[in-house]
Amino acid sequence: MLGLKLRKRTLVLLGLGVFAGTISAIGVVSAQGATSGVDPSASPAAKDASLRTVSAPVAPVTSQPPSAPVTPIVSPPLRAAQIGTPLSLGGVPVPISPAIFTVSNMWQDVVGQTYVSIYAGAYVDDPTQGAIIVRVVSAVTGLTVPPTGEFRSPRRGGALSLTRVDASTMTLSFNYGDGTAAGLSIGTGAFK
Amino acid sequence: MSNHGKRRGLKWAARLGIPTTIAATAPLVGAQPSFAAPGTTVSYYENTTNTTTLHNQGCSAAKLAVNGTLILQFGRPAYNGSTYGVIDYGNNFDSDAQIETGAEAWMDGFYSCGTSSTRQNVTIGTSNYCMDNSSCSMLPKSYSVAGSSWYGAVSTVANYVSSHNYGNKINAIWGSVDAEPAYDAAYSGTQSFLASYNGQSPGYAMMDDGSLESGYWTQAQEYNVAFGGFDYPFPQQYHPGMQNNWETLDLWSVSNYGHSMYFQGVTASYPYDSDITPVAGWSQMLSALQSHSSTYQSTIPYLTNI
Repeated sequence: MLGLKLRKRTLVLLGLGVFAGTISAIGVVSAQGATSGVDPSASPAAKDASLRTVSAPVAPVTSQPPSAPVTPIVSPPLRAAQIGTPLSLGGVPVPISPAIFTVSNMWQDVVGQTYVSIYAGAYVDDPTQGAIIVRVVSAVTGLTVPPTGEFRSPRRGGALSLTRVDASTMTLSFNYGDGTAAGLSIGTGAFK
Repeated sequence: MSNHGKRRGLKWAARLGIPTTIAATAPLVGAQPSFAAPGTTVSYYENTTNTTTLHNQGCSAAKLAVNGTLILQFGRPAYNGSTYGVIDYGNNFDSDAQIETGAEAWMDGFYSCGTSSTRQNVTIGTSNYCMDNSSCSMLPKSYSVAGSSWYGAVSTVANYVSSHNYGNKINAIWGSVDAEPAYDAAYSGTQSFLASYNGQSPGYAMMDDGSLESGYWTQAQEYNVAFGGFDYPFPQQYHPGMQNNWETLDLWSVSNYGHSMYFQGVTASYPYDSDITPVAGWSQMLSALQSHSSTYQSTIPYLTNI
């Protein structure tokens, strides 16, 4: 079966790092009774070749890679410090699966040498449970840093919506789905 | 995201048992995966293409010392009126040329901090977010051009890695796309982007690290994204049950094209975005593939957490 052949040859490639061009081409097999036309996959040989490994060094590497500059340039996001939905802010991608969490609204800005993104909403599998998700990324290292985290509301009042964010104190205000106002200190994780 | 902050889903930690026995017999329906899970690499949602930031991030990634495949997820396709690029996770436009330069700095950092045992594949990632939503800003004039431009970025970074003799630590550069049916119900943008990417030569594999929620695309369209051209499934496995749609599509592939798809990896998002640990998700996906002899894979080579 083609699939098994493909898998075996791919595993050989992955395991040994052999360039796929050494493997003979096998035509695409069309199953009898196919109902969806021609298989749009590349030929198995071409497909394997697309997994090509980078050539190993032909000679010892004697020079170090170029050094990075010391101070990064930090650009504020488009529509910085505005509260809005991902779409109203221009279609900003959200690093949270919509299958898991529905974002009501969000806020982004640069704070010092960090990118701060705050998302409010509720869980798909339990829309009564709201949460604030905070993502802080170092502009120096590109890594997430504290107080990155997920802060579940202390009561099940539906999806949360941001109403105010104070970046200087890392505090925010939000409404529950029923309209009740509340707040969160991001640094301590304390709701009020 | 990192491990900072409050975690949820820890109840799933009890399911972390990693099977290590190599099966000597044919798979049975419901059998447990018969190989140990690969190491879980860390993938990144990018807020910037700043070369200092990405150089440092690459160095940090190498120091984690987990070999495998990781994703640099730069954002969704965009066009600023003169050049193609993405809107990144910090809501800034990054041109494909800036992505190339930033990714090359990442490779410099990774190589310089790697060791003799470092082995990594890196994907240059985008998504199909906003592809059917005209209210998004800076939408590409042409998703076909966006796809060929993305190919240009991937191939340029691959050539950079090769020409700098990084190949003993950075084994491969591929593309990747977080393709989610709900992001582009109309499908046409996703189709145009991938058809154009896959129409370039030489081809570079495109990992589909997206989802497969039902009710949006036909199975032929789902297949086209997951395994058409130079595409390979590298699916999100965020909670129990997500693997079933992929196994259904794999069985469709067998029925309609006479072969199964080859799953290169599993993408996790733990603890913030997932009910299950990366290893548990990987195990569930492999169990699904092993539930039918026609879709059987002895293992799934890669596992990453974003």
